Amino acid sequence: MNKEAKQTLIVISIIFFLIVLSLPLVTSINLLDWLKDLGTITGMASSETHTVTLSVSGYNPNISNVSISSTTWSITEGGTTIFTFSFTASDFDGVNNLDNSTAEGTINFTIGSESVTRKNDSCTAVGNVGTDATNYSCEIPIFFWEMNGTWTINASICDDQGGCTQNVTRNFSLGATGSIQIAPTAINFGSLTKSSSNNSATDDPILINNTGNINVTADNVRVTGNDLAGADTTTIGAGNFTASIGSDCDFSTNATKLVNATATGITRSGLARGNVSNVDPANSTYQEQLYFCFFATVPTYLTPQTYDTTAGGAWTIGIV
Amino acid sequence: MKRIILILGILIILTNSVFGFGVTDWLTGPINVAPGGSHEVVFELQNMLGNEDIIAKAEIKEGNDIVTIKEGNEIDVPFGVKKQVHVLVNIPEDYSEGNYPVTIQFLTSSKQGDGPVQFNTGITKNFGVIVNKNTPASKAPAEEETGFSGGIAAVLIMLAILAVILLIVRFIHKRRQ
Repeated sequence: MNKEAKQTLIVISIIFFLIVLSLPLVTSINLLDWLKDLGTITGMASSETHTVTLSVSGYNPNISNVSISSTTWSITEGGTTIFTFSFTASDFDGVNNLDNSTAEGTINFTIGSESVTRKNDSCTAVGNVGTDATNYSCEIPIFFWEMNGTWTINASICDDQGGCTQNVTRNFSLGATGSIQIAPTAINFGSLTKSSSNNSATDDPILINNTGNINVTADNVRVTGNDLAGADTTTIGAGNFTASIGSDCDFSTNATKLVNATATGITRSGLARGNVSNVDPANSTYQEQLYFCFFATVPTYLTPQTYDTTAGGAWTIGIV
Repeated sequence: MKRIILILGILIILTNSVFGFGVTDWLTGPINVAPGGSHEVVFELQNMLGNEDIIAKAEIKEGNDIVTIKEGNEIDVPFGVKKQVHVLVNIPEDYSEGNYPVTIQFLTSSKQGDGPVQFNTGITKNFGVIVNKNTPASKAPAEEETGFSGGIAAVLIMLAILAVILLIVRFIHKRRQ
């Protein structure tokens, strides 16, 4: 072989190598996967067994474009959030072959042994795309006590021949919402006699509902008390008051003494997440009742007047 | 004469009111930030119960030196609204590595006057900040997932092919000369 022929051969080899290397570009194969596969080719099989199934009932539908307006959602405190998503179902046999009544949307959350599914049995066909695809819209209620975390979306549909398909490719995140509702929002102790003690609030108890989707663990309903002040700047310290989940003023047993301007966990208080509107309040763990007591002996030096939270600031009922 | 002389509050119409307040986060664990870096955490305040507008006061209980609230410390939340609040975590260049807790308490107060022993509601949110100089700078999610962009590979290969073809053409041209 002369020198010119050798050079031509080298040039042709380089071009061939480059063409082979560029194959993934025109076949949409991931380059890394392709190179990996290249190293595992072992040659042609001498014989293979194939199973061939022939379908005579037409094409099954296909679901694509499962879309949501946002990947982060939140519950609505004490209410219901309407979660919406849409998808496109197509069928090579035409849109008339899609059974609209079977278009379903479900959302699912699983953690450990607990699994929750919410569904809409009848998603709405909102319009056709060409001759063989239809867009559907689904609305699914998310109740305020639903668990926070990652939820999976499942869209499904069948055709007139009973061929069904589903798409479980999309997720969304449901946030953790701490939320409480309290009533009443103010209490009073009426008119008190000097040297008296263990005076309970006349509006007891304050009812606290868990209107969010987090569990408030034991002792984590917290009350921040502030000193009460009269018009003449005389004050009654917050430490003279207790809060309790029962009508008990004794802080050595069940009640908790408040501390001025400090969030104090109330003994045995807690709030599970759940449907507060569907239970007997007396037995509900989704609700808490707080009783307030002016346990200390009313000092004789106090001047007769109204003492309130105007100067020191409102008290706070909070959760963590 | 010991008589009734103290009045701790007056029963007024406000005692019959009800209000609620909620704060949402989407945190899944502590956030990682490098010294000199920053990170934004989004909270959502909602006022869907009761019947009045509220003002939420955000108090940073822990992490004052690294956390600021974009919307300020007093946030109007009209009734029936969910409102996003952006908490910025900024770590100075010379900040020591370690784990730092951040605690933010969101308090509500009614816009309608004062009462005797009045109550607010408070929701406390906590999250951890891990300051680590090895934390990578923010990347686009797609790049983080694949680690090697197919688009970049395609461009590089095409450039290589072009360069080789040019060399070949030049080589043949020289040979003919």
